[in-house]
Amino acid sequence: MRKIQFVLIVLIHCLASSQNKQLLYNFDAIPQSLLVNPATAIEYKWHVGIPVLSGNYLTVGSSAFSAFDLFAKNTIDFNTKLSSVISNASDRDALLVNEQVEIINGGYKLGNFGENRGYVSFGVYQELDMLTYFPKDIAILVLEGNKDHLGKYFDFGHLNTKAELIGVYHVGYQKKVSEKLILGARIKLYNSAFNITSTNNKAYLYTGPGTNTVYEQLIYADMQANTSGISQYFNNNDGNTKTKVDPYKIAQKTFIGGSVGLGIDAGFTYIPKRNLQIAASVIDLGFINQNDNVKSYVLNGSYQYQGVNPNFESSSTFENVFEKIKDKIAVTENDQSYMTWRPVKINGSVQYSFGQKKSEGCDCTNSNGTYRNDIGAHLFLRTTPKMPIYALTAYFKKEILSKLQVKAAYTVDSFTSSNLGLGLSAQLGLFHFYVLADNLLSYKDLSKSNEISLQFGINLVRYEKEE
Amino acid sequence: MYKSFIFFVFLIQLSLLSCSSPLDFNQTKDLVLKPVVTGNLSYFDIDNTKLIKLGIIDNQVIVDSINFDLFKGQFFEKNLEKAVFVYEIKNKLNTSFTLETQLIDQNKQTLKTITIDVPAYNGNTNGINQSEIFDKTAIDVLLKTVQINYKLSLQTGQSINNTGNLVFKSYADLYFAIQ
Repeated sequence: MRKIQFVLIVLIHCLASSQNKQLLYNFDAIPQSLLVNPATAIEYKWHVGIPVLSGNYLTVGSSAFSAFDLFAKNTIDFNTKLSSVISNASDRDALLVNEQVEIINGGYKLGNFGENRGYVSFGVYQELDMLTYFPKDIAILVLEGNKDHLGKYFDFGHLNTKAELIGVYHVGYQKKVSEKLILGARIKLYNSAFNITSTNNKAYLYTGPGTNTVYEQLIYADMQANTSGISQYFNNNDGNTKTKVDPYKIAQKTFIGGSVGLGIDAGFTYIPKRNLQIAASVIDLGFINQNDNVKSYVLNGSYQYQGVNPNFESSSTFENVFEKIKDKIAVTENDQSYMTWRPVKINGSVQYSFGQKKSEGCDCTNSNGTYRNDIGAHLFLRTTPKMPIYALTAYFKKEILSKLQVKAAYTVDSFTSSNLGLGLSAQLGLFHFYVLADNLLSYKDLSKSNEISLQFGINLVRYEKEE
Repeated sequence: MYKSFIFFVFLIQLSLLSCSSPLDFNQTKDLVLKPVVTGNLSYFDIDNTKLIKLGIIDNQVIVDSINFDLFKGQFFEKNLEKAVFVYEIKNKLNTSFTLETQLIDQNKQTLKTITIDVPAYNGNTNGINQSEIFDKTAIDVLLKTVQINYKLSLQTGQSINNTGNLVFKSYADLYFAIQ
């Protein structure tokens, strides 16, 4: 007898999820897995999410320090704690914040039952993404000064930060092009409410023993900070008064009226044998042309400071050395548009399945050749202005009962080397729900964690009819 | 299926019952940054020929004035806690000098005069060092300074009668307390 699985998806998920989404990747029972690989081997007839309630993601990762390192309630003075954090951090340490709110999400299978015409998915989501590297030398200079660091080049190139708020409209399509291969792709239209980018800076401040003067002191700067979408909120030299910050207008600007760009996702799932699956995807290969309220600041120049030196040759030299420094190392502004690239995410996985499922109604294996158990490995990379952020995951997924799947994963990534995660996908009556919890070991003391995540949702899904 | 529902509730409860060591974010109010910044202050290297050409023997005093308004502005007013000026002088002339450094305000008034007695060269190449400390109320003098006058004069009865030079170097250590 044909069994019809009919469920509507109502997604209510909140809280945090790991930004690399290793538990979600290739978890085909969860529709959001299509946003991590557009060629995920799904078998839905259709799915839809309730607007705004369909998905909220937040991840915070800090490789330099945890909340406990700075804010522990103990007898250690805060200044001592700060000094210790700065001492132990390096300019390769990063702070990452990524937040997403899904506005709408849906999809449907083209054609009738049994036809292979592909699956279309679409949606709109908002994303806030911030990545900043620890400005180690700048922090040392501010905290300690240069007196105890003679001979050191304070590298102002450690200033390396990007932040943006965008709305994303997307349409995706996947098709089983052969018995062994599923291809998928997604087109994205980005709308940027604001962007701040200051990367690729070169500058230094040097104080060392001098020959004539006590010190040799050098300043060199080749720095730039680009902003779009925010200059109207600050006083500027053009004489225009600043605009008051209006959260409603910012929310509106996230989806319309900002800087625009295009991007694509692409992926494949290759099944060379029934129990072997190789999948890969590239996400957010795209750019945004930042041209909305652009204001860029350029600091350029060099100077060798030798002091304010008399020569006694005229009674009034009246040279102002400090004005001279300002002239030599000047800040200039411009409003030229600039281009930014979205952080590209790359996924690759290999999965082996075993334990063939039995058909219902008889003590025989399922003719479809589906399996109860999967083990696999998954590599994730995200591009950054410096070294890519990575995550390497080993996972085991099991179908415990019909429509109840559990996935356990162990991940080593840029923020932690002990990320143990657990995911559950299950169907209860008309409802399909899931929960994905990363970094379970950190729950014994969240304040000491470098990365925290939890995600859960309730879905209603209609599956393809079974004959 | 109820087992899976219970497991789902358990995992949600897990997140709510997770532990955290006590944290206090109000500690940021205790933040005080105390950097010490050092930098060149002044330098000159003047030999006997130039000294005579400038008329030090006839006029006894040679003077130069330099704009110096580094410490003007709210940042220094609020955050500069102490400053130390350090002078190093090496004299290779068989003549003693007096060097006066005068700190002048915008009304051309002399706020402070730092006097350095430079002994004649006696074969000791180490030179002399002298420090001037500005802290507490003395910081005000620096905050009002817009000009520095350097006055170099021969001490009474002195003359220049050998070949050599007078090298003056100085630097400043600035101590900040930024809250």
